[in-house]
Amino acid sequence: MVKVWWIIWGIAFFSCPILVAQSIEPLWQEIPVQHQGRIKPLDSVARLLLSQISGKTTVQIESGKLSATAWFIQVLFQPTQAQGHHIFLIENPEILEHLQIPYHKIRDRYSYHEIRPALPRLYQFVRPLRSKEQQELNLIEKQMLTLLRNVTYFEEFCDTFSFLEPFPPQDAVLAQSLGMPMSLLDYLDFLRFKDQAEHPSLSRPAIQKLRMTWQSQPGSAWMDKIQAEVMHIMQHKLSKVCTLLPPMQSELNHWRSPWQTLVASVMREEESQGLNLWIQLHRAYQQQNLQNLQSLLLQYHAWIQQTALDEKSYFKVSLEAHYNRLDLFFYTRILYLLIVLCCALSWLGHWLEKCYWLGICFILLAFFAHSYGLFLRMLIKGRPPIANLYETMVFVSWFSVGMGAILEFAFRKRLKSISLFAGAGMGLFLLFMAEKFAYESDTMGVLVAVLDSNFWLATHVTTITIGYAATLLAGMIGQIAILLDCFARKSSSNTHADFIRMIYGTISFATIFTFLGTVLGGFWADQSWGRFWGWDPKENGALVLLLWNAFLLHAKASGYIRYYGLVIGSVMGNIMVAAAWWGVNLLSIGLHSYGFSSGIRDRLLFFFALECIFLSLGFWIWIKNNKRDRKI
Amino acid sequence: MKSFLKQWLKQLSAPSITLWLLLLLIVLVVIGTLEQAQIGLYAAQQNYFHAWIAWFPSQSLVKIPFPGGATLFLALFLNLAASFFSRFAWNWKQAGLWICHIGIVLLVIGSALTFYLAQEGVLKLGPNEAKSQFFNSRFYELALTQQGIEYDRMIAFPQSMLMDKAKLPQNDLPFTLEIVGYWPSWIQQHAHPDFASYDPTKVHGDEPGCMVQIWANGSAIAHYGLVLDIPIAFTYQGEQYQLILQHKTYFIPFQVHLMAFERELYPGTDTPKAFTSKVMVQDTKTQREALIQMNRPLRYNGYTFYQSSFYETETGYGSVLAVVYNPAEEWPYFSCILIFAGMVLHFCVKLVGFIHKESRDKGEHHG
Repeated sequence: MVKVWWIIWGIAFFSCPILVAQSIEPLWQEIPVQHQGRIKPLDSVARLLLSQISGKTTVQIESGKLSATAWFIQVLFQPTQAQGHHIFLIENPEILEHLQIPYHKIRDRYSYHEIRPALPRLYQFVRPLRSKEQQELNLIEKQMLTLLRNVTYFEEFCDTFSFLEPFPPQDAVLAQSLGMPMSLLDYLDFLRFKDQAEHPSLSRPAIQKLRMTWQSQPGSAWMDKIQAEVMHIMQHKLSKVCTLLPPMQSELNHWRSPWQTLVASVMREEESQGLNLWIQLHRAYQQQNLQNLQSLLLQYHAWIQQTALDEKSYFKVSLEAHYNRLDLFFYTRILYLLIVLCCALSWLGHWLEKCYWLGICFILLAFFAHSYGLFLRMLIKGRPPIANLYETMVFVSWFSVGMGAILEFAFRKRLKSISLFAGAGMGLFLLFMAEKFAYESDTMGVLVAVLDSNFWLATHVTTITIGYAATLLAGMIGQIAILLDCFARKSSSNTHADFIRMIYGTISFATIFTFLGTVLGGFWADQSWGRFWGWDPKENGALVLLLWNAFLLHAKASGYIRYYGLVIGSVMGNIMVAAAWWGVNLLSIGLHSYGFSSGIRDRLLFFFALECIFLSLGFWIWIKNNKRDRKI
Repeated sequence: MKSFLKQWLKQLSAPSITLWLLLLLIVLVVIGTLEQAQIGLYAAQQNYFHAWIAWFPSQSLVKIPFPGGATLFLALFLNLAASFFSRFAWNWKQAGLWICHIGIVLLVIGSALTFYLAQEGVLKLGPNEAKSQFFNSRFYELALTQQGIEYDRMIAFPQSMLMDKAKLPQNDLPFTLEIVGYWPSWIQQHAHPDFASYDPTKVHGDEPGCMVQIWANGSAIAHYGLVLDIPIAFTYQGEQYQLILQHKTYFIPFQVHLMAFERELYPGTDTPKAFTSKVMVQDTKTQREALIQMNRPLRYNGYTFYQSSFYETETGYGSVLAVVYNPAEEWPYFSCILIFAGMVLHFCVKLVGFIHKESRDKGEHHG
């Protein structure tokens, strides 16, 4: 037994990703940025951008892998290199054909350099689509629009520091009059040289000279050339998306990109400090001076804490970076998979029964990690972790694992490892379903006004999702019961009685919470819309589930259904949950159709198909085993 | 006689009826929800959930009748009520079930009360505007106003009375009104001389219109074509009258004055963070300022005002408030608390039973 513990701790220790944090990367990751309405670490922006473009959160390069943050910093500081990485995921070969981009292999990623020659064709393709409604678009049109959005977004991030690019007109006369080679000058030097206000951090002695020249002989030819060049960059490369710099006037809450700060009519002393730190970071990055970078980053963090963020918001930003680094739900998923395997192994033979205990250890570890992840999300957002579809999935999987563990404890003597398997299977399945949403948008995003109520989120959404979780768990146990009946030796009536007890108890619990959740939803609706019940699709979904659970309880209590009826009924409950929880989003009507609905359909259909297989198995086994006793 | 009643109650309360009703209700809710995508929420409510008989599918020529929500809920109600007298056992172990099912009965009664008694509608307030009435945009009425010196008198005829050839009964007027025709959208009638003065491009043609004939002493003295919200004034025997076809209007016994409306967005996005209407409510005695926000309605004198929407005008934002007056407002709260308490009690009784049994089995096992 002691050995087993050593193995577990060994695995836990090595899988612990905290150890990675030795470089200066955390300092980059924790830089606060305002993005999509909230302040978050740079790492979250990087992950979101990268996963939207490439469908994963790392970049494959020749010399290994780049993390999202490392890639993002390169996009900001060395865009030309970053444009060579293969990041644009193009799944559909038709798109490549249309755009005449050389085909690599199926489902591959392409670099910006490869895509750039095809951009005119892309614009041409997309132009007539602007007037179309979202529903009228076909698959390839949607994918083209997505590609265009990703490319434009990427380009704009690449231009964040475009004012630090070398100034192109190489003029010998000008160089001579300035007393320095033109290649040392960048756009920034020319951007503000006319300003009377001094920004010592932003200008160099040569620029002072340039200003004097300009004042003494206005209207000279090379001056016009410079002006034209500066106008050109301001029209085409003035990037606004990467809002790195906090506002210094307390009445404003919009952060600004470096460009916006630079061209603002008023620049305060603190703002020029911040901008200057970024410029120095840029230069240090070009020189790959690690020591300098580290000290500059530390300075920047000190500056931002001093000027813009209070302790709490700064802490939340670092916490979010910490949460990103841990990537808890990924490891949790692996653990759930291991648990499922352990349970399956333990059924194979007597000598493998030890695996069961390994599974028990894993579930404790996984549940701890899962809870910690939810706890971190709660701390970061200051609201219950159930505000969108992604979060409800993570929450439901957490709850079913916990409930499975409790049931395992209660039934450990008679139905060993059944609920352990069911709980871990549920957790694995739901985390797998949730994963896709994590790539599509910010899962910690801001809430629209009507949802922004911690009290109702904490009560209504928690209870209704607990109801879903318990119903799903009952269904999962039902599926196991069907499988056991099909493939294992003929199970005894004692086992049947225990399964009945377990499923019936879980469904009773589910009924209570579904009811409470539905009713609390009614109270919320009454508080914010003025009606308790309005037959909205999501409300109806919950009602159907509630009625179905009530039906099962009544039918069982009055003897109309027995073992098989309950088992098959609980599997049907799964279908109802899926329809109520995700299905109504596909109807895209009603008050609850927020959250994300794209990409759900395929997974939902897959789920329905799976459940139908279980249902037919269930009916088959019932007919086979109960030829005399016709009662289900 | 007594045994007959008992027999009858027993049959009415049969569990098979409950089960069938629950299944039918599930099917109804599912098809009603799917139909919503086609016909919209309101029509789905009318055709399925509030109806006695639901015809499915509502947009095809061949329709299958299905028991509607009203029928099913009434049947469930009767089935449940009968169960109290025949099926439920009077003992402590069943107390949870009792409480829970009493709650359900109250919930159904409360819903029926709300359905028949509640008034709801919207209050549209422009910047700095005060109003003491709100309207329901789904229903219409014909209103006749008699202008007096001290006060005006208004008589409203609901939509249900506005049928072709209907005489509107009103004894204390010197004339009678007859509806020559009523059309849910008046555009089909635009060639008629009575409607000639309306410009279909300016007055929405898809809104209702009606034609009214005024009779006095057995002869027709005037006839008018009316479209939504455009009043027509006339004089008879020296008195000023005004006729208007309008949304069903409710009066509130106080005034609501919009002082300011604010809309806050998350920085750098179009996602709304908060909507706030600052209003002043005043009646003859008191006046009070209040803020109405999402999830924070204003309750005053039995009326509840919710932040629902907003619109832009030249002088600033106007606010749209949803107004509800529901005398049965508290019913769902009490009944749901009862149901929940009953469920929890019953669950706990069962759980304790299960644990007892487990420990007894364990004892036997060891023994």
